Amino acid sequence: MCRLLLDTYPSALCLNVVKENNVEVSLFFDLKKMDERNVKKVFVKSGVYFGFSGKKEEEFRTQLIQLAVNMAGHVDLPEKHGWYTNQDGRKYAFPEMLTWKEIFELC
Amino acid sequence: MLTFFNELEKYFGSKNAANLVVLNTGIRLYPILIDGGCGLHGPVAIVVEEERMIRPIVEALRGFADNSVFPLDAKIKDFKNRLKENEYEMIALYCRGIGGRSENNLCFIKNAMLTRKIDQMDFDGVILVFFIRGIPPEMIDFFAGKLVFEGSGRGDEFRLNEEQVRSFYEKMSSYIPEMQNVRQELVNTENDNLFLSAAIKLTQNLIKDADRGKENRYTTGLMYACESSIKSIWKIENNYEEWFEILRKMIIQKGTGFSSAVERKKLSGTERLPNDDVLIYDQNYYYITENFFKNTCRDFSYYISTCEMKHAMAEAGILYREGASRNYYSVRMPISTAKGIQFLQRRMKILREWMDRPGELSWVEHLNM
Repeated sequence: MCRLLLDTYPSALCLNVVKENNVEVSLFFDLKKMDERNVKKVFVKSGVYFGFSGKKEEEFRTQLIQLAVNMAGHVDLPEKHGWYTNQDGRKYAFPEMLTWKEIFELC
Repeated sequence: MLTFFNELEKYFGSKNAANLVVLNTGIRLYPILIDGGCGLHGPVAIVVEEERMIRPIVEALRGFADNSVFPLDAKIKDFKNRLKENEYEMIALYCRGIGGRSENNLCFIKNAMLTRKIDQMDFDGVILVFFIRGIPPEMIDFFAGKLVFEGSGRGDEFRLNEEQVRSFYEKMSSYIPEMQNVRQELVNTENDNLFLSAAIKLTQNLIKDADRGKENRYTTGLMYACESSIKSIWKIENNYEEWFEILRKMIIQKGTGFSSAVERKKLSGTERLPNDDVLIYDQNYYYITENFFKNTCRDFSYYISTCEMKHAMAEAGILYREGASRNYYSVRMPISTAKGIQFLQRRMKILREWMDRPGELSWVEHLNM
């Protein structure tokens, strides 16, 4: 399952992956830094591997990301917790909601 | 809302609870109140009797913010970082005394609240500054309003129920369109304090909603209490009256420990000079030693110096001032002993009318009891 966490600026991709041992992990990618080095860093940091050799693994990751970006749903994120404004007017971001600040700490 | 009020009432007493409920509504909805043109032009001063009351009050008002209290006299860099880190609608600060940093920081927060920016970053929170016993007169201009909390109750045991906070925000989201009407209503009545009036109005609407269809005396009384209680203490004025009242109470408190009260006329022919703990009086004045006065003022000398207090009292006509050019704040009292030796003792001459209130026991009566 994947979600595209978009705002006018900045934007990120969230990929929820279920590993072999049924552990679910969320991978966050800053869409402004989608070079192979950064993408690899996120996968390695979360311990997500596809079990191929280096080059094939890289190819698989790229394909997966491309597919995810195309099919992801859009979610608007607040900049901070508390009251914020979006196109629909005033909304409240409760403490458990993700904010941009937190997303970039995870990317 | 009624549950929240009942809980606050249980821990803080009904008067404090009414003030907390209104201020709570104002803080929770502050960004929306600003949109409606009902913002504050400065921080809010909260005056408590004892330091231990600060934490429970912050706990009652914090919403989802943490309940830490930051010192007002922190370095400006730390201070800015603290304000920038804040995500929710309230920041609590504690004034430990007046001085360069405190005043600079107050100036900074007043600007931040007026411009709604801190270093180009949006800022729309309410800043509360806690004081113990009173606000230093030179700081008064920085504040948009003040609240006084009397007594401590069982506040220490109060813990905020975050589920209640959550349901409050959920409920409040539906109130946003109504803000426009509230603002219109308030403008039409020529209100001088839109923030406070809007907070009272919204609290009353919430109470009415919570008790929909029942319309009982308790709700009506509560609505009235919210309005009258907070309005009576919100206004902030640049005078020393508040400090005079504190001083009066403290003199009475410490003055009960005096050993005796002697009338001025009967002083002549005494064996020895009267001590610090002997009260001298005549028909219109009490005479106390400077030592006693200094000791009484020491408890709040952090905020207002003894010298400043004497000057303010003299200006207000409470303290008798002597000398045309030098303005002494004490008078020389001639006392002749039984052996015929004359002494001059300096004492401060304080108006009895100010000390003794009608309907209460006077200081002398208290000592002679």
